This record gives sequence, structure tokens and C-alpha cells, in this order.
Amino acid sequence: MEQTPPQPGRRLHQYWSDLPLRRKGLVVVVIPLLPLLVTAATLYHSDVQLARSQAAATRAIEVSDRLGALLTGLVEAEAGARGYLLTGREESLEQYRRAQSRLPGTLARLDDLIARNPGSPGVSPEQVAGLDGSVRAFVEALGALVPPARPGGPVDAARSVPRLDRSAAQLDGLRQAIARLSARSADVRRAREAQAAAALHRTFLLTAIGLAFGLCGGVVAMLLFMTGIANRLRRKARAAECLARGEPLPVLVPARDEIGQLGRRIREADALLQARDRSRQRALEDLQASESRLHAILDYSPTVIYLKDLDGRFVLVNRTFERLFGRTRDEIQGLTDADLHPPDAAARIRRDDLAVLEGHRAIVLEERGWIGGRERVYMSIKFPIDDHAGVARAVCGISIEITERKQAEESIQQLNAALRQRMAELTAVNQELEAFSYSVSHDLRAPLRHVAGFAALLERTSADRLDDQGRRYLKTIGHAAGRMGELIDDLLVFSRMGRVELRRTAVAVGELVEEVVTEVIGDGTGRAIDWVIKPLPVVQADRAMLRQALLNLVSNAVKYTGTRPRAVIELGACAEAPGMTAVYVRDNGVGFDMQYADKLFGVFQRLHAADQFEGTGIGLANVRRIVQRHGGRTWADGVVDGGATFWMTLPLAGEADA
Amino acid sequence: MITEVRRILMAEDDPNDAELTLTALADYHLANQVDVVRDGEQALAYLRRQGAWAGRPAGNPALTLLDLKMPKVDGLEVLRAIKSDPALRTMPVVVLTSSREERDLVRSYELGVNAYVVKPVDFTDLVEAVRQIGIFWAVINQPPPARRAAGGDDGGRS
Repeated sequence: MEQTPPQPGRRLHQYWSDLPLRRKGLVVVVIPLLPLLVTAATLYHSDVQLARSQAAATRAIEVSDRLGALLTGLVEAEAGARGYLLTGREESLEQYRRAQSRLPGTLARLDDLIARNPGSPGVSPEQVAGLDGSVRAFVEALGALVPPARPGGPVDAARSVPRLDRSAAQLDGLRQAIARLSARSADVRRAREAQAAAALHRTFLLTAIGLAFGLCGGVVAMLLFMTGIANRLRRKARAAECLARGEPLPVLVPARDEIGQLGRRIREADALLQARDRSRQRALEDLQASESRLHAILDYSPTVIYLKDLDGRFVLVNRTFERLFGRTRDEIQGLTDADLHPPDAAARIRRDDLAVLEGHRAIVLEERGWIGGRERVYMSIKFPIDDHAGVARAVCGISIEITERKQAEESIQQLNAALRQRMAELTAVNQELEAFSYSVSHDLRAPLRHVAGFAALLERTSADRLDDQGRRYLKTIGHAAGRMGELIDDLLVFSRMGRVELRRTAVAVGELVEEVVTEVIGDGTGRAIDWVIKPLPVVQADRAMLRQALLNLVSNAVKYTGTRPRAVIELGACAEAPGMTAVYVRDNGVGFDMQYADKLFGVFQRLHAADQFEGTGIGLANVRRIVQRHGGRTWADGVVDGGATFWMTLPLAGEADA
Repeated sequence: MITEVRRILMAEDDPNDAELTLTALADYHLANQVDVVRDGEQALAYLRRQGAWAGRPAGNPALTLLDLKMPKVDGLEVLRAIKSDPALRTMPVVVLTSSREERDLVRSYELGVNAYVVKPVDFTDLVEAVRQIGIFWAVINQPPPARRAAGGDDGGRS
């Protein structure tokens, strides 16, 4: 609203605008009504005056009439009296008496008229009373002239004429008085009639003026109505229309009345609508941003994503879907699975979709299909999409291709199956091996024992009957059987080393070495051996098996230093890989050719002739097997006739185990 | 010192083994007190005096030598039967077998065997082992008192 300096007119306009409608209405009604009311009142007043003037005029006429009648009566009475007196005729007397008898009545009516309207006809009661007196005096005078009852006798004319002259004079006086009164009454009547005419004229004038003012008031009221109500209402209506159309509002002059309040409300509504529009616009933009974000996520997802309506028609698909089927989303929209898949596959998919809709829950399933020229496997989740009322309106599916994973899984399964097969085979082989070693242990040893036993019995019972050669043969049979027994036993021990379960504990190698050395020395032949035993670690191992390995190594050292005058056997350890230690047994014995170093650890492999050093050749094989089972390795360094060193690595015991 | 020599039951399916063992026992004059059965079934029949053995004198043998691998009922089953029979439970049983298998050892001791001896391949060793067993169980060892009157008679007989 423009700010203009306050002007009187504007201030008035503002006052008018601020006035409540009720008062405005009152003003609009009163303004044309007021001149009309004034006019009506004036007219009434004027009318009353007119009536009064007319009535006064009428009475003046009546007074004139009565005065006329009185004069007539007087004239008749005098004429009768005069006639009788002059002629003596009874008719004149009769005329006199008649007139005389009417006179009081006429006089009384005049009195009454005057008394009822004093002053109005211009004749006062005093004047009438004066007239009364004069009339009575005249009547008495007449009465005195005329004898009361002397019918038929002539009157004394001589005596009567002077009296008649007097009465005529009296009558003239009366006539003049009446004429005066009549003249006054006529004056009054004329004055009243002029008054009435003036009043009538005024009335006409007033009516015209009243009408004119009324008309002006109407126009003013109309103008006020237009400016104060109608125009403003029209502007408000236009504003409301703009509001309804969402167009910008026209300028509304503020006012405090109801229309002004209406304008304010419209402005408020407009502000509210604009705010709502802005927030709606923002929400719309947010929604669009969110939607495009979601679309981007959907499109860049490597999974196949689609949305189908209740009839199974595609509503939305992502880019992966488009690429998979080689069609754009516009082409796909409205299609069903029957358009993309073979009939049976489409029917299956539709069944799954219906299950999702009917069950109103998500399902996870594996789907296979011939898509894009090859069979593909998908891991899919399908779930219903609800409307705001929670009623399912669509099915959404997200599928991730797991063909390769599936193939890998299948190949893993195949591998697993193969592995299980191998395991079963291994178990079977193991069982066979077990059966075999049991059989070796029991069944093979029995005949061996028999051979040895009966050879011994033969020697015992028949030795004297045999020659030397025969006895040597028998001895050889016995030795051979014994040797075979040893081999079998060694083989069984070796086999057991590979089969028995490891019971790992923390084992102090030093303590074990002490035990083993004691055992070997006790076993020994009292040879001179220098034992050099360096600090040895604590390892994580099966005590019994480690003891066996150490025993084999130490025994070997003792055995192969047998030819030395002074044997030196050293045991020690040094760090290996992290968590591992290398334990060695070194001797100054016959040594070996490094060319055959690998053969040393083979089963029944020997680098020396049986008659040179006894043994089956199983010891180092056992050592290697034991160490391998502990996750370690074995090797040997040696020089022919320069001693040998045998190494084995073992896992160190953790501190908690030590 | 009274040297009571009582009967020994040997369950052994292999005649060679039986002969070798008997020969070893014969060296110490124990052979004539040995009753030999060829399988587990017969061993139980002997111990329970059933079938062919119904007529043998009452009383448990001083020792039962049990081979493990036998036809019909094997040694471990015989051992279980003996150790679960109140009348036989206290009788000493020595397993004399070719098997060094750990599981056989474990099972035998679990079932309550009194000794487990692996037959040595060498005849001299075999003779020595059998001698020691025979002397110890049949002569040195004091057997449990007989539980029944018949057993008491048996204990008195020399």
C-alpha cells in the first residue's frame, strides 16, 4: 500500500473505509431518508396550516350567512310591525310575530358560532354581545309598538309613526353594525384564503425541495455505497479470483472494517498458499533429486532390478535389465515375462510373483533361465511394493547373476565329492594297510616263527646226524628267519609311525637327549665316547615319537663311530625359520658320500654292507617320517670318513606351552 | 615248598604253534598237564565243561593260554566271556600271540587279561618265554581260592 502524506480527503476516505459495515449501512440508508423526513414534516405542518386557514375562511362565510339571516329577520320584523301599524292588517302582524319569534334563535346560533370559534372569523364575542344588546333593544322597541292582542282594531297611526321612524333609525344602526361585522368577516375570510393559497404554494415548493434533497441523498448514499462497499468488495472478489487462479494479488488498500479483514485474510491466504507452493516446490525438487538418485543407484547396480504391476507388466527396469535383454526400457515397459521368456519359464516366474503378492512377503529364490544365448543362474529376492494403505500394488525383484559362482560351487562340490571319494579311498587304503600290517604282524610272523622254531628243533634233535654243511644250513635258515622277523618288526614300527595320532606337548629336547644317551650307553659296549651336549630348546612334539627319532639318530652316531678310537658325538640346536628350531646330531664317524645323501632317509636304504654295520636301514626313514609329521624336515651333511651331521627341524613350543 | 602243578588250557588253532609251545613246555615237564583246544568255541566249552569236555574233572585250570586269532570265536571274545563269567573271572589268562598291534594290547588289557606275551620269532626266545610263563603261573603264582566244593577238591589234588 503506497504511503502518501495524509490529506483531509484521504483521511475521510480512510475513516469511511474503516467504519464497520453496519454503520456504513446505517449511513447509506439515513442519508437519502433524512431530507425526505424533513420534507414530510414540513409538508405536514404546511397542510395543517392550510386546513386551519380553510376552516377559518369557511367559518367567516358562515358568520356572514348568519349575520345576513339576522339582518333579514330584523328587516322582516320591522316591515311586519310597520305594515300592521300602518294598515292594521293581520298579515303584517303575523309577519312581524313570525320574524320576531325567529330572531332569538338566529341570534343564539350566531352567538354559538362565535363562541365556538372566538376571533377566527374576525368577529369577537364582545362585538356579538354588543350586537345582541342592540337587537334586543330593537325587538323590545318593536314589541312596544305592537299591542300584544288586539285583533281587528285599527291602530293609532298618528301615534305610531314617530315610533316607527325611531325604530327605522334603530334598524339602520343595526344594519350598519351588521354590515360592519359582515365586512370584517369577509376581510378575515379573504385573509385566510390568501393564507391558504400561500400555504399550498409553500407545500409545492417544499415537496420539490424535499424530492431534490432525497434524490441527492440517494446519489450520495449510492456513491458512499459504491466507494465504501461495492467497489472494495469487487476488488476483494477480484483478489479472491486471482488467489483461486494462483495469479499475483492486486494491491489491496488496508482497512479495519469487515471488507478490510476479508482483504487481510485473502492476503494471508495468499501468503500461506505461496509458502505452501514454495515448500511444495522444494519437496518436489527434493523428490526429483531423490528419484534421480534412486534411478542412478538402480542403473549403476550390477544386479537386475525390475518392477511389475499386479498383472505382471513391467513398470520399471534398470540398465542392467536393459542390457541383459538387449531392449530399452521404453520397449520393455508394458511387456510381461511371457514376452521375454519361454512359456514354461514365464509361467514359473508368474507363479513366484503371485506367491509374493498372496503371501505379502519377500521370498529369496534361485532362478535359472536361458537368457542372452546361455543358461544363467540368478539369486533373486522378490518382494511386494505397497501403496500408502499397505495394499500390494507391484512386485519388485532384484536378481544377481551367480552363474559363475554356481559353476564354481558345482565344481567345488565336484571337487569335494572327488575329495570325499579320495578320502574314502584313502580310508579304505588305510584300512587295507592296517589289515595288511595286522596280517604281517600276525600271519606272516607265524610261519616265520615256525621256520625258525622247527629249524631249531631240527638242530636240537638231529644236529649230530648232520654233517657240518648241514648244520651250517640249519644255522643260516635260523638267521634268515630271525632277520626277516626284524625286518617285519621294523616295517611295522615304520608303518605305525605314519599312522598313529600325534599327541603334541611341550617337550624339553635336553631331557629327552639325556634319557636316550643313558639308554644307548647302558646298551653299549663300554666304548669311549665324548658327549658334547649344547643347550637344547623346548619343542612342540609327540614325546614318544621324538624320543624314537632321537634314539635312532644317537644310535646311528654311536654305531658309525664304532671304528673310531675316540668317538665324539655332539648334540645341539640353532634357530631356523620363525618358530622352528634345527636340532643336529654330529659325529666323527665313518661319514658318507654326499652323492647318496638323499638315499640315506629311504626305507631299508643302507650305504654300508650289512657285515660292516648291523641294522635294517629303517632308522633314518623313521626319523624323516616322524619329523615330517611334525611339520619339519631332515637332511644330512657328511664326508666319507669325515663324520656326519644329521639335522631335523621342529616347531618351537609357544611360551604358554613351555 | 609245595610245588603244585595243575592243568593248563592252551587255545591255539595253529598246530605248528601248538607243537612249538608244547615242546617248550615239555622242556620243563609241564607239557603233560596241558589241554589244547583248536578254537574259542572249544575253549569256552572246556571251561564250562560242555560238549566234549562235559566229563572233565571240575575246577578251573591254573592258567589259560589264549591265542587271539582263532576261527569261530576269537581270543578277545573268549577273554570277554571269561572275564564276565563270575565262575571264571578270577582264573589267570595270558594272551600268547603273534600280534604286536597296539589295539590288540589295549583291548586285551581293557578286558582284564593278566599278561600279554608276543611270541618271539626266535625259537630259543620262545622257549624261554613259554618256560617263564609256565613256571610263574602254573607253579609260583598262588591261584585264587576255589569258589565251589568241586574247586576245593581240585585244589587239594596233586
